[in-house]
Amino acid sequence: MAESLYSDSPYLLILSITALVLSFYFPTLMGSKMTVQSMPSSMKKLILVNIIWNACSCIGIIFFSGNVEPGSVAYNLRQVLFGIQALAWVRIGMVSYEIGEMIMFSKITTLRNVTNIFASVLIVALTALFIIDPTVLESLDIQIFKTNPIFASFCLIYLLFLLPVFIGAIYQLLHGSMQAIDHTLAQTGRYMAGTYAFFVSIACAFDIIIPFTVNLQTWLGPFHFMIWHQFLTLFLTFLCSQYYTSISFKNKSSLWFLRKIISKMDDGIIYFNDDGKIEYANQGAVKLLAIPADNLQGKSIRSVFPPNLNFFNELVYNDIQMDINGERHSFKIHFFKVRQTMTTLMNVAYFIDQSKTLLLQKDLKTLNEQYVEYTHDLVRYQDRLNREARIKAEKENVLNTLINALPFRVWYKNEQGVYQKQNQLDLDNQGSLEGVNDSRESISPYERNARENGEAGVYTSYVNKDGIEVSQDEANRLTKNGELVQTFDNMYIPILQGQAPFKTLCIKVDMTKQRRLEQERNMLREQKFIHSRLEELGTMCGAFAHDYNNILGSQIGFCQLAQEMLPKDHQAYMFISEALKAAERGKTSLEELLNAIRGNAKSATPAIVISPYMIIEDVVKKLTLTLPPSITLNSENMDHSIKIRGVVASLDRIISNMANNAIFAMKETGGTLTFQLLRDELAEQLVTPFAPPIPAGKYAKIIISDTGSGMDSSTLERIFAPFFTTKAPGEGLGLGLSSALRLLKEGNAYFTVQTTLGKGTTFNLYWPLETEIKEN
Amino acid sequence: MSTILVIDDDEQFNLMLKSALEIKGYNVETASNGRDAKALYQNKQYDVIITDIIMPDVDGYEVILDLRRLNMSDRTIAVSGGGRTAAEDYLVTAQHFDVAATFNKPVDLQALRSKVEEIIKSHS
Repeated sequence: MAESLYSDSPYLLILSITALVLSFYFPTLMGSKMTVQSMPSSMKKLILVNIIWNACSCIGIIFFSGNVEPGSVAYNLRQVLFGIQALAWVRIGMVSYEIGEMIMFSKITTLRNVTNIFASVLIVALTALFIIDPTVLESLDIQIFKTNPIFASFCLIYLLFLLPVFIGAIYQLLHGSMQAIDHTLAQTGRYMAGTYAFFVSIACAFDIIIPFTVNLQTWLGPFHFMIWHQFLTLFLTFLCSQYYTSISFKNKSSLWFLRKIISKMDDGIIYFNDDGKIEYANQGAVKLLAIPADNLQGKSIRSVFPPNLNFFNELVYNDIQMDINGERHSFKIHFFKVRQTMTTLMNVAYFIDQSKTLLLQKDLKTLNEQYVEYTHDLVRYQDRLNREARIKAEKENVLNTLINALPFRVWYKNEQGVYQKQNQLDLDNQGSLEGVNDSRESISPYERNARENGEAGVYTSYVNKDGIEVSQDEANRLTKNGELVQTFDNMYIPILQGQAPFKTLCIKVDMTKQRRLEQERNMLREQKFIHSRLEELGTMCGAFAHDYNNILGSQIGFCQLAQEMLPKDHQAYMFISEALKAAERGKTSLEELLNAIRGNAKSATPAIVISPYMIIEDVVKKLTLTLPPSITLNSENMDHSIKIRGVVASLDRIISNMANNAIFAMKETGGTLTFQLLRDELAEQLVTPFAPPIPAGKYAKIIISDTGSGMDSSTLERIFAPFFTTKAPGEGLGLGLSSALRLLKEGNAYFTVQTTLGKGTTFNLYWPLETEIKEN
Repeated sequence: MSTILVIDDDEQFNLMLKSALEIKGYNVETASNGRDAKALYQNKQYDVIITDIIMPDVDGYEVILDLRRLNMSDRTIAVSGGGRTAAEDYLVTAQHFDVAATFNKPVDLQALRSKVEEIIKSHS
């Protein structure tokens, strides 16, 4: 009787049928997580193994339970069934190993396929052997082969081909989970290894170890081969699928996350196959290369990047220059490979546009340089600013000093008429008015005009002794009464800038002194005028007197002669006496007339204390009007402090006459006429040719020098003669120097004359100095 | 017999002086201006020369200065009636030119004759 291979237990049959049903339903059970198509092949294999194993087991229990007569048809069929069953279970190890590898991402080795084929061949051979000769193993003379040859031989196959794979799988799982970087993966690997080891050791213990220790006999009957393995494998399948799905889900989410990142990246990612055909390009790549995604798809990687690159090695290229839309760009390109499935690799180009970075670095460098430059500039500008500020302060200081030193009042108002600045003189007069606003009504129309219309205005104001402004008439009246009236010239100067109203600069000049001087001057002029009129009259009378004097002189002379001839008692003598008397009376009345004229002239122009420089200036002014262009007039060393006592008209006459002579002397040649006025003190009497001696004393010395023709001594002798003239008839009467001489005598003044023929003549007039003591 | 030259542009005055001096026994010649006079005194020695100052053509000053050059200043008497300015003006100048004497017009005949007498005496 051959040994029992299938139990007749109905429980075992129920279990086997349940296991078969579960195996069929397995994909449905897992359906919520995955479909049959998406299952990995090893998973499918595992299910297939389960189905075959359980199906065979069911058939065996139903048809071939218990001992079967060797050599019978039942025996042969049972052996074939058992062999098919063995072919299924011998794959369990391989498949479970594959799943472990898959989960841990290890590499598949082909060696186990060879052992697998070897085991399958062995099983087929063994089955055939048992069918041909059921007693063939009894000849081995081993107890276990004699009693249970089938059990023992298949156990040997199990031990040879399955157990090592089981142990290897456990080792691989543990090894993989140790090395796994991913925490979840490591944990999964450890759990899987644990459960795997647990099931394998339980199945091994109950199916192999225990049966052999009790010589394959229990009180219930014989042991049946691999019963525990059959059911535990189902559990293992469930566990494997659980682990797989959890791992694959995690992978999927990682993949999804990665895809998302890749699509959002600014850097370019291109996948291309081993032919160089582009299969995927992210948005970053599209943007960087400026080629639409549709155009990139299917294009060769060589047409995108420079073709001389090595695209299929893991390399990094720095600074690859490419023209994109006419712009030069620099790329950094990484080429590497990634595993896409268990067997296929994908080439990846990962590239970064460095030109922007380089550009930015360049910009940064430039900016840094600029910054340094700016810092230097800043220092320089600060320096300049400081210098300018210093200059400004200095200028302001100078300006302030100048304004304060001005001999007249200055102030300055803004557009609204508010006082902004006053000089010291104005402060002394008005006090500080800073910030004070003069109302529009209180200011003069000139100032208003300057402020509102931008026209400068000047007017003269008069202020009485109480400081109140008065009209010109009133001022004249007050002056006549001898009261103090101050005269001011007021100037309102708009500072033209922008639109009206304007800022105004006001200047107030005290003209009181100047006005007094002017009045003095006018008075002198008036005197001179009167004098000249009188003199004119005097000259006329003089001419008349000369003629009449001659007439009378003759008459008187003849009368006297007649009287000498006649005896005194002669009647004619008496008549002649009467005629003489009449002539004498005529002479007297003539003298009276002359005296009256001369006396009047004298009384009209009394000698007063005068400043000669004023008179010289007057003469210069007068001469300038008729001066020939070839002659220049000069005034030098005008001592304004010199005062003399004299008749203004006389001095004017003397200087005018001498100047006229000098100008006449230079008429042909041209030249320079120079006036000088200075103090001179003569320590002793001064004696010069052609002039009376000058006593020692203090004098005002008026020098009149020309660069004319000069005079020879004979001319010089006669220059002071009336009617002596070198002028052509009609050019002058020759009265000038003689009257000058007379006037000098009248004024108690002296002169000297120096002349060099061809070089010029100098007259020095010495006028007694009016000392201050005398003046007082 | 002393000879006297009288120079004046007034013929009547010349005649008057000539008469007054001739009475005193002097030989008197007259000239009506400086140029005529010069022709006379250059050719003839006069004891006294009496000249007016203001005259047309060559005036009295020229005569005076000319005579000064001939060393005849001390024989020269200047006479002036004044004119456009007072007679003194002219006479002061004449004195300045060292004439022997000056007389205002109308001339005091007695004084003039005695002055002439004095000059002639001083040279005799």
